[in-house]
Amino acid sequence: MRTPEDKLLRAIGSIQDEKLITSTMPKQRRSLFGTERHRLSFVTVEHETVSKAYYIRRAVIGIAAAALVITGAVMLWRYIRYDYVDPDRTDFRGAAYSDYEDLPVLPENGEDDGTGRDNVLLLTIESGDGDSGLEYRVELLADNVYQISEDDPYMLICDPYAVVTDMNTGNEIGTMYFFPGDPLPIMPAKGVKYDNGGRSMDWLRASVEFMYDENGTHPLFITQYAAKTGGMYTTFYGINSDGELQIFTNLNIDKSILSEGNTVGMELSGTNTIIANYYIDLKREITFGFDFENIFIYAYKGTQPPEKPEEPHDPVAGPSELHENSTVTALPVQEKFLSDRLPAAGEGDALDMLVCANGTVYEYISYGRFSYDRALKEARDSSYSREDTITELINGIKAVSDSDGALQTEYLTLLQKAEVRGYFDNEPITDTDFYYIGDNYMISVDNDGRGNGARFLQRLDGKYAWSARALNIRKALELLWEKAAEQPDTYGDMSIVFVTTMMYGEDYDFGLEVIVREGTYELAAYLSDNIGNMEHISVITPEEERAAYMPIGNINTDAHGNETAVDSYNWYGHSFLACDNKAYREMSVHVITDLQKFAELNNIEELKNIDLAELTEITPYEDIFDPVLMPYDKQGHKFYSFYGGGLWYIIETLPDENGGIAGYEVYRQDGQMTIVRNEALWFRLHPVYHESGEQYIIDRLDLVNVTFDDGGDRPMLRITPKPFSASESLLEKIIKRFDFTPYYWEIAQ
Amino acid sequence: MKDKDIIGLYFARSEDALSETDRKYGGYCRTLTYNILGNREDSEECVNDTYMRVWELIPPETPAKLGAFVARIARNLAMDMLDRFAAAKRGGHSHTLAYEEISECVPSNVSVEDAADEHELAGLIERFVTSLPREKRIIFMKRYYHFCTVSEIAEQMLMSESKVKMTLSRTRAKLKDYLEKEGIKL
Repeated sequence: MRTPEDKLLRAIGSIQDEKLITSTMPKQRRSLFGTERHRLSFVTVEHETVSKAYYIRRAVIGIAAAALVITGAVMLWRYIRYDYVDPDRTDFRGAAYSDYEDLPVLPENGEDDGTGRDNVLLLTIESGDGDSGLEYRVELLADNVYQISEDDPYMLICDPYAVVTDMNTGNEIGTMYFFPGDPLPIMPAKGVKYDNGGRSMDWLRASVEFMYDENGTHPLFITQYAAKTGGMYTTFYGINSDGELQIFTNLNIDKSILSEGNTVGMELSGTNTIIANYYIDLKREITFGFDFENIFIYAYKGTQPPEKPEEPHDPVAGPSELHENSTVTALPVQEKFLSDRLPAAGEGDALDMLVCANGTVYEYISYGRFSYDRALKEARDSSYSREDTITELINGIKAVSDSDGALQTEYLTLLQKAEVRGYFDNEPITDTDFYYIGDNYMISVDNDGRGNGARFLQRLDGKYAWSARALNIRKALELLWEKAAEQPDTYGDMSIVFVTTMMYGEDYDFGLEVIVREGTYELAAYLSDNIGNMEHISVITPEEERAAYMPIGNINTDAHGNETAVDSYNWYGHSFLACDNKAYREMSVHVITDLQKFAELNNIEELKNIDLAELTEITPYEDIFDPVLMPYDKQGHKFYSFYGGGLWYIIETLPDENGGIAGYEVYRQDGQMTIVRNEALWFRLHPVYHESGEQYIIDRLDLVNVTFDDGGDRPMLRITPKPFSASESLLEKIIKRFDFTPYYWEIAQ
Repeated sequence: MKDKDIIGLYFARSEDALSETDRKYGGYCRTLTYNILGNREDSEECVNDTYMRVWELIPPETPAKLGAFVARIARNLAMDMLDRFAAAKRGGHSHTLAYEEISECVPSNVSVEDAADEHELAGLIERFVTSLPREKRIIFMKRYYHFCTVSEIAEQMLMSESKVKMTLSRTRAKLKDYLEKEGIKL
């Protein structure tokens, strides 16, 4: 007979819950750092009881550690890259300095006029010189002050300015702006939404420095506007002989600097300083000097400043003798204007704006690291002068600067008027909103991850396109809808697309493309007449329209004519890429192999004959673009290019849900061929090259929009995915128009 | 090797099944049986008996969790062996202590003549254990199923021995109340 205790123990031993048994089973002890036991819970995990926990926790710790290391590295890099300023670079003394970290939590002072607080006092600097008895006070104030984030009281939107007061007399001497003569919001104010993780949150770093010259007889006030992401705009103020605050806009540059190949001129970004309207590359160890009597700056390298010029240079027109120097860029006022209004950004980011302002078919859209001059050089339309480009750009920027969030809302409101069917789910980040106009046109408002979203036309029909500038979008829309209401038969199903390209931060550059049905030229004239700024509208011919979708390859050469790099991009900037010859031969083989199989299968001669030896590898997207700036990178797109048969090809890989390659889009340089291939993945397209060799046909019409272009040697079918099934009537029209075989029609059903 | 693969070896009647089982669960079985029997040689014998028993049972049985299956067999075989050694007053230290401790759980209305059905009792205890908070459940199982010593449990659970003892004591008291409420007579 068993004892009660024995029975109990045996009963416990009869527990049937196997998970309970195995999960409590003692196991070999493991730790992150060998086999020793550690009392720290984060080291010795609870693997004795739940084995998975060990691995999970170890993975979490590993990831967290990696994240810490990466974060630290990034912070260090950013500090070195952007924040470090050599304190020994100036000979001045008595500097008082403050940066955004000294800003108070959303100041209580100031006047709230409903658009943020105005006249908010952020900082006061008072400094005197004992020898001369001079005493000045600099007050950093701001209008339109918002606190962006509740979590970070130092993230402010504001329009900063600084007031200088002579403390001996109590007189206010003048106001300093962060850009000479024209205050500009460091952050966009009034209603711009920041719910998209916008980079602008990271921008504000306004500072005021205040110092005296070596003799203590002249104050020097410096405003500085720096982006955390790079770029620094510095303006120097002095007090002239009339006792007025004056900008040091005149510059005298030691020619020896120029002879050494330094760049002196205007620059939009980088680790450079803009002094008034001059730019000097700080990396060249150039010394600045200040002539307080004549209020000009001289820059030199070495120990001796250059001789003072007899007459200071005109700060607006630029120094003529420098203009003649091949290494110096004299800056017209427009460029000055431009640079003032472009937020300090990473190199080349402002060029987005420039390109869009071009207004021509071949717009250069750059997100990458390219110079200003290079962008100008690569503007495709030779008839479009540099001056025109700049002028147009300025107008565009003005429009953007004047705009605010409400304007965007109006755009959307206008768009919604056009909604015939489709949906608008108001999801700001990831989704695309669609608007249908009539049966043949569609607008997709394609959010780009920053909430601002590109607006694309997905045209089902139509041959002509116009593009217009930001200034005219609203008016154009109003006119178009008005016209559509008056003449619905003619204009009722016109289609409109917004092409939005992003500047580096919060400003937008809108382009408007208006697609109307074939033959409706008069609408273009009507619009241009009524909008009143024809240079903001360009008519795009069918060939240009087709070309606009093609990639543009630029082969850059060095001084000896050797290829150095290739840039390619399509009109909308989607397929932007650049590659270096050094990496040409290492293109991912599987991509090409797969592509060649596809070419063989579909009898596409152009692709079948690709010479692998000529293949190139494009620098991975993420190496070119800031992933925060480039949502497409986040979506896993990769771009490759290769050169074959005298033409450049661009391959855009489309990601699948698992991070693999769902398919490819292939563009040919001459725009004659566009292949879309997605294998039942993302949008489940599956194009088949028709036996006739005249059309590309897809088998899932319910998921795509199709645009057919019969121009050129080979018809091009543009296939655009959409997230919901088209109506039967639309499908019927497509089928009828393009004479799809019943086979494909059946598949579509 | 995964349990499923080892079971596959049993079904294939491959003797590798035994070596794989030993590789995966041998350490545990030896510890468990040693905690009950208190003798290395007896423990080793018991483990060998366990493997033989597993070999006989699979197939036809297909345990969902081989570890639990092996553990149950080893545990019961060890306790049977202990019964045979009872006359000689031999017993594993841990088991002996557990035996003494578990006596606290015996309902006060004990009557050895009114023996409860063992399956019924096992079901009740399983429900009781399952209802325990995770930590208490683990400690209880380690102590009374796997016969780990208090110090071992404390080390594994990263807690003090006194806490383990206190937890076990309270759990035993709860078990006793639970069994009494269920009207269990042992």
